[in-house]
Amino acid sequence: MSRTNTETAENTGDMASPTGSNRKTVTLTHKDGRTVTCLPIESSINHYAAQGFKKGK
Amino acid sequence: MGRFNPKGVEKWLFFPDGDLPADLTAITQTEVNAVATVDMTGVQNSEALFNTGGWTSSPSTINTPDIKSTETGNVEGDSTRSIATTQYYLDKIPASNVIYTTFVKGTSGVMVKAPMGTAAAAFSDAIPCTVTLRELDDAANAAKSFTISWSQGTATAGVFAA
Repeated sequence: MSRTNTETAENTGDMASPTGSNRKTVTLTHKDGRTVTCLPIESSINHYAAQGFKKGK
Repeated sequence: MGRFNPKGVEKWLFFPDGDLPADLTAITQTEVNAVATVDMTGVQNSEALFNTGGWTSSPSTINTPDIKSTETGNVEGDSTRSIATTQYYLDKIPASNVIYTTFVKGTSGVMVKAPMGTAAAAFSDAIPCTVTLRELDDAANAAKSFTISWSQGTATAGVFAA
């Protein structure tokens, strides 16, 4: 009896541009040290501000 | 003439409320390249869009039976839209997942489908939409991913301007 081990890989095709994209991001920092990086959309920044995250640092 | 594979060509752009295009039938290159405009296809080998669904309208008919005949015709009914989705691979570095962190519930704007890219004369569909759910997917034997679900308004067909 023999055993074989077959390795598999999952394809991860996507729609992204080969060159990626240029994006301006904002990093928000919580006083406990956690950080969140998001795009500069006001409603998103306000969402994290409500959780105690602030711009800068 | 020529069919094409959309990989690397197709674009999905998101214009947040407050930075919407002036004319959804003729989005300009300046608006496409504005800082506030989000390239929703993501970044190759990182957090990238790999599946979309529900961003189309489904027309319906209303049957018009009568007592004259067993043959029943119809008239045009409502065209309706369901919840739309965009699905992304997760990057294992938290800070690289900026689509995930940005598109929290309630984020609102206009999604623009650009299957041919965004050069002048390419076609577009612009759809007002709002994030209704953002959730990590739970498939075990797959590259980890997350799904954003959107409510949507009606589409405006257009052609990109120079």
